[in-house]
Amino acid sequence: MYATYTCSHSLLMKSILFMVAMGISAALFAQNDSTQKFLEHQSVNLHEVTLNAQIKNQQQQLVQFYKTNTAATLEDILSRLPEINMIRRGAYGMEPTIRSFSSGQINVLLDGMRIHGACTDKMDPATIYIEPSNLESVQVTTGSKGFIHGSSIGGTINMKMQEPSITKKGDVNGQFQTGYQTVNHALYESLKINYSGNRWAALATATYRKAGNYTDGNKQTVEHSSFEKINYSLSVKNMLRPNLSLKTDFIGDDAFFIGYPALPMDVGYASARIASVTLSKNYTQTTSLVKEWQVKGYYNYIRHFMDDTRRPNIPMHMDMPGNSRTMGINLITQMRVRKNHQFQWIADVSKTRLYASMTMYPQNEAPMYMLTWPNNSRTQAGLGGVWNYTVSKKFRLQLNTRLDHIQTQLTTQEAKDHVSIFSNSTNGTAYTTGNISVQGTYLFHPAWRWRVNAGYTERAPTASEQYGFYLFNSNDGFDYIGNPSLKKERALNAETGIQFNKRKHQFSVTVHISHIEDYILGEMDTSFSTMTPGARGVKKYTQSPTATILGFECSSAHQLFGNFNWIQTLKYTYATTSENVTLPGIAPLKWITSAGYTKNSLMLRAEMEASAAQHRINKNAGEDATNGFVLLHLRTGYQFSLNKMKLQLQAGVENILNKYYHEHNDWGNVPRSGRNIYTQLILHF
Amino acid sequence: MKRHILLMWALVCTASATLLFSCSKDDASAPDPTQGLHKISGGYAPGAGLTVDIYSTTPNVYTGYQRFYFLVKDSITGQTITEAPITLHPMMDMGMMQHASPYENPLPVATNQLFEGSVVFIMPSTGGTWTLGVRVTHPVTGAIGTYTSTISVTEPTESKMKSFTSAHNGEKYFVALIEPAKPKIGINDYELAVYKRTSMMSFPADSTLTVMHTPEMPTMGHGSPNNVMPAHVGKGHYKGKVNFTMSGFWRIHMDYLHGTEVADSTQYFDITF
Repeated sequence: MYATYTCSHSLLMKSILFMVAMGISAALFAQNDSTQKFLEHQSVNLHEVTLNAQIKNQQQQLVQFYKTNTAATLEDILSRLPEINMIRRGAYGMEPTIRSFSSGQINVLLDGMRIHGACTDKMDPATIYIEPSNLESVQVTTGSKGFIHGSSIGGTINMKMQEPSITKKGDVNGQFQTGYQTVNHALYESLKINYSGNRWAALATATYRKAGNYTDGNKQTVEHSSFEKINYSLSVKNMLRPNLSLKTDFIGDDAFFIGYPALPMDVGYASARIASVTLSKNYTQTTSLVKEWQVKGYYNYIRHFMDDTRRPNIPMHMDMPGNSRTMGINLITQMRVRKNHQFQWIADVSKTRLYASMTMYPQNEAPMYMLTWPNNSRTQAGLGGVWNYTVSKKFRLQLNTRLDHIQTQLTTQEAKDHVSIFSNSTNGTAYTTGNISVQGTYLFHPAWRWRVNAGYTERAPTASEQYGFYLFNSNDGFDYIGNPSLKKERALNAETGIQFNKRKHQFSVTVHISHIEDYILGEMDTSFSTMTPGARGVKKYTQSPTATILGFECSSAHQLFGNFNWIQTLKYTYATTSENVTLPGIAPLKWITSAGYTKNSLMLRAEMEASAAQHRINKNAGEDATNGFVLLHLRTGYQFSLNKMKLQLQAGVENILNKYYHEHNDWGNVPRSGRNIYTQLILHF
Repeated sequence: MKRHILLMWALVCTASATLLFSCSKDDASAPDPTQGLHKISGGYAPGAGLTVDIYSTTPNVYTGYQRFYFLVKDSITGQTITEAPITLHPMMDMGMMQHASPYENPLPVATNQLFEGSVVFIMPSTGGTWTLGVRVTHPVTGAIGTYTSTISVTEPTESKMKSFTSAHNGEKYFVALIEPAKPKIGINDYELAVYKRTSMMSFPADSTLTVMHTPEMPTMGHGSPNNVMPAHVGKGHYKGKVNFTMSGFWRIHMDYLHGTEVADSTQYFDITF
C-alpha cells in the first residue's frame, strides 16, 4: 500500500490530525496520579558503578561481565548481547543486527533521536559515532515490541545518553583511562569530567583511539585495518524548577581514517555533529495523572568521505562523499490511571535528507560523476502508544501500537533524472505503516515468569532500497539499484519466553518466530550492465513473497560460593524464504560462557566463545560456508585507593590460542584478530 | 499541568508543520525572438527588397546538423516579414570542385517572427569556403532575391557528423547527431538525421535504414540500461532515447541495417560531459 504524492499537503494534514488526536487524549487523561517506570526493556547498563535498579534481567549481569575490558567499543559490547549479531566490514564500524534483522528493518536511535549514516555502503551505522563513555545504557527491544520509537519489523537499539549529575556546588569528579593493546598497537585515552553547580551540572567527555593494522591468528598483518578517531561530548543540565529540567547535549565525532579491509575503499574522513535540547518534567504529586513528560528537539549532520588513496594498484582514483542531515522533535508522555493502568505516548516528527555521489578520475579523460544516493528526503510523523495493564498480582498485559506516515521525495532535478533511468516513479512515495502487538506476562511462581507476545509490524523501504544508484556490495559483488515502487515490508512476530529469577540463580530462554511478507531483497537483472569494475552483475531491489526467521536465545547467571560467578548465553537463528532459499547474513549457533572469581581487590575471569560452523548459506548473496571456532580469553583486574582516588589496573589476553578465524557475517572472510594482550589503567577522581 | 502538556503538543504540531510544509513551484518565462541567439551574419537580398539576418543558438557554426533562424525584414519599411517562401542553398567551394550538403528549408510561415531551417555541414571550412544562399520571395511584391553569406564552419572536439559507404549498396550516407545537445545523467533524447548522397549537389533525406545504438563507457567497460532504439519520424530524422548513468566519456556505437543486411557497423559518436 503506497501512493505517490507530488505535494506534501496531505501528509501535513494527516500529521496534524495525529497530533491533535494525541493532544486531546493527553488532555483528557490529565488529572490523576502516581510514579513508576513501566517500560521493561532489555537494557544494558554501561555506567561503571551505578546499576539501574529497574532492570532485573540477566542482560544486566552479562554486560557487567563483558564490560571488564573498559576500553571496549560500543560495538564490542553490543556483539555480546544475545539478540545482536554484528556485520563486520572493517576493524571498526560494525553494523548491528537484531535477530538477523538488519539496517532498514531495525531502528538505531540515540535517546530516541534518529541518526542516518552518510555512507551508501553502510560503513557508518549510528553506533560508530557514539562512545561508551557518552552512554548510560543501551536498550534493545526485539520484534513485536521494538517499534514504539519508530516503525520497524526487527526491533530497536536505543542508546541512552549519560546525564550530568547534580550533587553540590563545586563538586568535580571524573575518570581518566588509558590503555594499550598489542594486536594492533592500539592506544586508547579517555577523559570524563562532571562539574556540579547548585542547580546545574555539566559533563564533558573526550575519547581518542588510534590503532594500527592488526595481526590475525596466522601472524599475518591484515592490511587496511587501522583507524584513528576522536569523540567529544558536552552535556549541560539546568534545573529550571525542582521538577523541570533543561538539558543541552552535543556529541562530536571525527574519524581521520578508518580502514575497511573487506571493502575496496576506506573511510578517509567522517564526522558527526549531534545536538539536542531536552526539556523534561516529573510530577511527584500522587494526584497527577501525568507522571512525566519530555520534549526533545534535535539536529544531526553526518559527513562521510570514502577514500582509496592508501590502496595499492588503484587503476583510477575515486571519491565518494556523502552526507546526511536529520532534524526532528519528539514528545514523550507517561501517564498512570488508577494503580494498574500505565500509559506511554510518543509523538515524533523527523526529516532526513541524504546525498551521496561518486566521482572517478580516469587519466587524460573527463571525470566520471554520478549520484549514488540521488538527493532525497524522508519525512516521518508517528504516534506510538503503550498501555500496561496490571490485571492481577500474577498477570500483566501490555498493548503496543504505532502509526507512522512516511513520505520520500527526490529533492533535485538531477536526482530525478538519475532515478528516471530505472523507474517512472520520481515524484516521491508515501507510506502509512501500522504496528501493533500484545504481550502477556504470567508469574506462575514467585521465581518463574512466563511471557508471550505477538504482533503485526510494518516498515517502509529505506532510501538505498528505493533510490540507491549502483551501490556496490563487496560481499556479494553486485551493484544494487533501488526501486521506488517497493511496497511495505510486513511481518507477523511472535515470541515466548520463560524466566527464572532467584537470588543467586537466573535463567531465561526465549523462542521467537517472524513471518515476513514482501521481504525486500536484491534480485539479479541480467539486462543491466555493471558499473563497478569487477562487479559480478546488477541486482535490483524487489520483494520475495514471504520469508521466515526463527530462533532462540538462552542465558543464565549463577553466583556460586560467594566469590565465583558463572554466566553464559546461547543463540541461534534459522531463516528461509518461501522458495526455500536461505536468507543471507544469518549467524550460526553461538555460545559464550564466562566464569569469574573475585576476592578483595582482585578479579580473575576466564571466557570461552564458541561458534558452530554455518553451512546454511545463500550463494547468490556471495556467501560461503564458515568454519566453527572456539576462543579463550583471560582477564584480570586489581583495584586500590591512592589519596582519595581509586585506581584500577586491568590486563588480559584475548584469543589465547591465537586462533585463525572469522565469523560468518564478516565480509570478505577477513580474519579477525589473533592473540591480543591488553593493559589499562583507570583513575577515578 | 494541562497547560504544559497542551503547549508541548502545540510545539510538536508546529514543528511538524514546519518540517512537512514544502511544495515546489514551476517557473515560466516568456520567450523573446532573438534573445539568447547569436547573430552569424546579415545583409541585403538583392532584387527582393528584403534583408536577411541569420541567427544560431551557438556563437560558432560547427560541422554537423546546424539550426539557423532567419529574421527577414522589408528593406524599406523595416517591417518584419512573417510569411515568405524561403529556400536554402549551402555550397562548399574547394577550388577544384564544389559540392552542396543536406539542408532543411524553413516553413513559409515564421514562428515567433523567425523562420527556422537547418543545414548539415558535412565538413569544416578548413578545406574550402562554405557559403549559404538564402533565397527569399517578397510576400507582397513577389520579387525574388538571394542573400549569400560566407559561413565559417569549425570541427567540434567531438564530431557529430559521420559518413560511411554502405556495405549493401555502395552508396555514401551521411549521419548527423542532433540530440542530446546538452547531455545529462538520466534519460536523454537521441536524435539523428540520415542523408544519402545521390550527386555532389543532392543529399536527400533517407529513411530506408534501420538504426540501432549501443551506449558504452569505454573506460569502465559498461553500458547503460533501458535505451530506446531510434525510429524514423520523418525527413530522415530518427528519434529514440539514450541513458547515461554517469557523467564522463561515453561512446555510442551505431549499427545501420538495410532489411537484414548490414549497411555499416563501424561508426560511433563520442559524447563527453
